[in-house]
Amino acid sequence: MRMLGVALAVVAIAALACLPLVLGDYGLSLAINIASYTVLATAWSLFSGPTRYVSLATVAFFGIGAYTTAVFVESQAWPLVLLIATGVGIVVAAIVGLSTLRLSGVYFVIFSFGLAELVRQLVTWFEVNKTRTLGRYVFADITAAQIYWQLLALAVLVFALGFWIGRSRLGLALRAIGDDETVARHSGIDATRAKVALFVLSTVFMTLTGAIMAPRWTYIDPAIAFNPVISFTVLIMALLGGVHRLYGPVLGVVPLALLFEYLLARFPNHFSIMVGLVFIVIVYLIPRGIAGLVEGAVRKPA
Amino acid sequence: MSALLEVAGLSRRFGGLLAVDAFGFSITAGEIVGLLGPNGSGKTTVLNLLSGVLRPDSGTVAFRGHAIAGKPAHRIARLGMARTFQLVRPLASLTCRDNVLTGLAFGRRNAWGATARSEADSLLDRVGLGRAREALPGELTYIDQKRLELARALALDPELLLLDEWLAGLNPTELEEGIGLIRGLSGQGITILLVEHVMDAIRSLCHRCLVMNTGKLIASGLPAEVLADPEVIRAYLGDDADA
Repeated sequence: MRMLGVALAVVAIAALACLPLVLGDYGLSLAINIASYTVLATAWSLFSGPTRYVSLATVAFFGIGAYTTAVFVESQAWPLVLLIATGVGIVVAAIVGLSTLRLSGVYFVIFSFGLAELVRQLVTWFEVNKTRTLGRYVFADITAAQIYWQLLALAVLVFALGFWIGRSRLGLALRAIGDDETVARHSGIDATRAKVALFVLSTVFMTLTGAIMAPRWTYIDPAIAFNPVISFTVLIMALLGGVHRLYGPVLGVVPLALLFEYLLARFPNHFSIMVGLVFIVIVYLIPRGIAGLVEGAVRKPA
Repeated sequence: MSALLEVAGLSRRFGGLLAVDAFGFSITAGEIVGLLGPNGSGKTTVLNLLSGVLRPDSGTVAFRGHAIAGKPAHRIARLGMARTFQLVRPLASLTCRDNVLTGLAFGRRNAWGATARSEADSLLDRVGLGRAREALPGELTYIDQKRLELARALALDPELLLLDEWLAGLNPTELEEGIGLIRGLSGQGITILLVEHVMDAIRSLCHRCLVMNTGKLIASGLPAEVLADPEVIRAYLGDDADA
């Protein structure tokens, strides 16, 4: 059974890796979009699913990654750029985690939203006052297919990490914290440490996604790299898919990425209001996400 | 023999209310001690101060020789102090077995994997929940949720167990069973501090009782003695002058 699962996963990854060979330019850009949101939404759920801390800071880390690439891509080798992005992401996440994860519920949501804005304003201030340019060009010798493959590798890593956490003590600790933090602490769980550890792990993937995606744009400025819509999109996708299962978010990413693509092409001027409506419908009609619906349907006949 | 738990000058204020006022007592290993007092006298606050839910404003708590006043709850739990809550608080999304596993994995036992699972199952057997290992707490009756909470506390391999009205709400048969269970734990060397209103349980279980009123210790001694103490009766029933 276990061998079968591993074999299926390998076949699926190999098939996904071959996509750039058969897809055209448009198909590939859609695949990149889906792959990047898969990493973001899965990483988001790793933390927010079990702890129930709703984070709107996704784009803070995504943007930090994108800016790291913009700053270093011409002077450093590509693997080193990713390494720097990882380091910067970890440092910022640890500082933010240690200072905010004692907050609970709605305070954390507001803080996480504010954090993204704060980082955006800081970067803007720095660019305007120090470098005296608001935008940056990102010239990297990287093809779209290579970006896709890196995102696919990142997706495999985030799934592997999620799989491991689900079976580890950390996973049990986080589910206990999500249910009742006081009780969890009384079972010997160092709740703060567990939450910070997971927050850092989760946001590293967001930072790396931003770093890998930056060359797609060729030009970035703070409004692009720290666009709050990215945080909300990730949230909607994860909620639609379901945050209680590792495979949940991807079930939300694929249909919504396609739907957004369609809406953006057909109704470019009403895109935001449509996204808002989609959000409301999801929260009201499928609060446990598609994964929850599927499990409910499977369980009922039994 | 030195005390397992030594509390001195413990105080905690909530706004204008001094909930616990220079409270002090000690417990020797092996005792079953009852903490009594009318509603609002500060009993649960004392447990919260001991287990790390709340920080005391002043005072010292020594547990197994460690100063634990104001320490985080997980540290205190790992030293071997476990508790149940007045209103049951099972971890709702975890199966009964996983509820118990939390204590085994993060407490002093530091157990994980197959060993931990079989230990969790035997703890569930011990409290009479062997049939509900895979059940979610929401599927259990109130009494069984209390059993689950006790199993989770025992998973910490405690030296001191704090029971906050664990026997409240049981019917006579269950009460007898519950008293037997607590006595059995004591027989295995666990020291117990219980907040309780069920007088039958106090009389048959406790070696010694502490009585609180308005945050202060007003009596301590053998159950029969303290329950006959005029000041204790006054605290529970009010002054003659009020009547």
